[in-house]
Amino acid sequence: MAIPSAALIVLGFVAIAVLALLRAGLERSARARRFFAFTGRIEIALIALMLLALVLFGCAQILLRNAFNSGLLWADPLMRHLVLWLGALGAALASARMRHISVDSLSRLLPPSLLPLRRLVVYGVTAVAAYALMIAAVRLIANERSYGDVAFLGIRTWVLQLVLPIAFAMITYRTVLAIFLGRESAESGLEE
Amino acid sequence: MMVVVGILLAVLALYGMPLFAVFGALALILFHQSGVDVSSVAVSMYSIAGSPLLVAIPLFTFAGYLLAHSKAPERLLNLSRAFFPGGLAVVALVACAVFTAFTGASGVTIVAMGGLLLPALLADGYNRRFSLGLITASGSLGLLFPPSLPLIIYGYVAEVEVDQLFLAGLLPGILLVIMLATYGAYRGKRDGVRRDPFSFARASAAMRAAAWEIPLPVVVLGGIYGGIITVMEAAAITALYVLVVEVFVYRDVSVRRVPSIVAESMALVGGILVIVMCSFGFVNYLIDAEVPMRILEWMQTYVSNKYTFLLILNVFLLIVGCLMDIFSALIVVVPLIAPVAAGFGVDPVHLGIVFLTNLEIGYLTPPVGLNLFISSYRFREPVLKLASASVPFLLLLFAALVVITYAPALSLVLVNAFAR
Repeated sequence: MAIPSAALIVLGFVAIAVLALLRAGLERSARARRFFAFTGRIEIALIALMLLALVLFGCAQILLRNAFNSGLLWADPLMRHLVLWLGALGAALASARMRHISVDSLSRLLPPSLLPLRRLVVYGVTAVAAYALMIAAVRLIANERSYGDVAFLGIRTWVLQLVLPIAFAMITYRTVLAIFLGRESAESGLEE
Repeated sequence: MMVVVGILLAVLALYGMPLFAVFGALALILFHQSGVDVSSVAVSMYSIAGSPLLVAIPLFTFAGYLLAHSKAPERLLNLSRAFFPGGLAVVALVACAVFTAFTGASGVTIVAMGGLLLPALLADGYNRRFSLGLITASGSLGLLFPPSLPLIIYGYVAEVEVDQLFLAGLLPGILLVIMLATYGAYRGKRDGVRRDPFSFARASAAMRAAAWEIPLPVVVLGGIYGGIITVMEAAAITALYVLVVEVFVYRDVSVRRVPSIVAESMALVGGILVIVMCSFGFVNYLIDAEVPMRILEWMQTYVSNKYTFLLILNVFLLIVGCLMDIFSALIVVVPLIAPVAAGFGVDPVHLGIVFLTNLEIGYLTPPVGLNLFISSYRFREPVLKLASASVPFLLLLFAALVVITYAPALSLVLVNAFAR
């Protein structure tokens, strides 16, 4: 993986913004909304499976150690990486609902007419920051691939790190989408 | 240039820019300026896969959310009502403290317990203002009890053994509960509220109803201190146990509802962990620039002893608690303050308890006191009214903070006896 040039980096951001714009355009179609509700459920199911795996491996380790005086050597690194994945995908989920931890004490004082402007500026900068963090993660993976380290069970470290750029790309996309949709949260499909 | 960017980001943060993005942007800019490749920011993101301790966070959070969505709050309330004399106010405080320990002080307590408690308190004859203040204050009471999320995060950030922190929080946590409960009992007596005499039949019924949940604290604490399981394994057991009990034994939560509870809890976990990921680059930069050492040197020229330092620390942390939420405050401020406190001879375990008590007070203070906003949302009351209703409780918490700060033994006696 070559380290992307400045032009490619800008192009990548534009591509994400265009995707978000298209998605926002589909918001009026009931069929499209059902489709995105479906993909939202797949996303949650994936996260639920990871959490279930975390629970089961944790309990299996206790059983193995206390009852059989053994344990799976790869279970600990696996669980730690599951937390990385859960944390990153959970953050992407928090972006869909705009549930990120923030301070936000001044926007209560703004007149309602200025709120869309606030959203544009704050979310715009957030999207750019999230995208820059994605680029940082892509660079990390490019470096890590050249080392070729193995984390556990023959799985290479860079493969496990892939969740970082994926999650930050999702965060970027969802933050831009919230701007286009003109509301505080991005994904209609994820609302209960 | 850097100053301008810093001020700009601070202003955006006050207008609601997510804190992970604020810290991430700061880290990227600082590293880029000092000629370090930005991939080092991502290196610190990946470092969260290196900590066994963090494994406990999604597991305990999920268990807490599941409990919150079940009828456990009701059973816990009935149980406390059957066993604690002194009126419902006292009961409410005890039940909320226990519940908060399991739900990690994320505001779930007010949402889950408040809806039950407010009507019950009013029906028993407490006045509305007092009741609102009580529920708002008790929403974070109990964050010193194991296995609360802030304790685990402090342990991770300050590199302190979490089982020591779990023990250290017990007595200070009990002190907080007793102080608020005494006030609650006094108000109950003064206002002549309804009081139930102890009834054996009621107590045993409440115990039978909660029979599956009563062993939970024993599983967590007993397992950890019996040396059978680690904190991370206790979290896995708790999650499995709560899942089985609430979904299959009590059937409070249907299997179909579990994914949405997973989503809700993992959005919170992601929100916390992404701040850990993004701020570590920034924090490491400040540590490399020897910022904590400079603060220490500067303070040592003005402050000569530990006690004055602790006073200044409390004032500083109260301001932090007013401005930041507990998780980002822990993640960003602890690494900078811990070396300074160590320089003044403050025990890191004691520091953790002082830190969390301050931040607990921050839950009740404007402008960002989380409890005020959650109560305001839940009970449809203006934030300012809730803030003023919380004032008596706030004063009591201040008094407790003084005791906890200047009597380190309260935090350390159990740790020294059992875990060192």
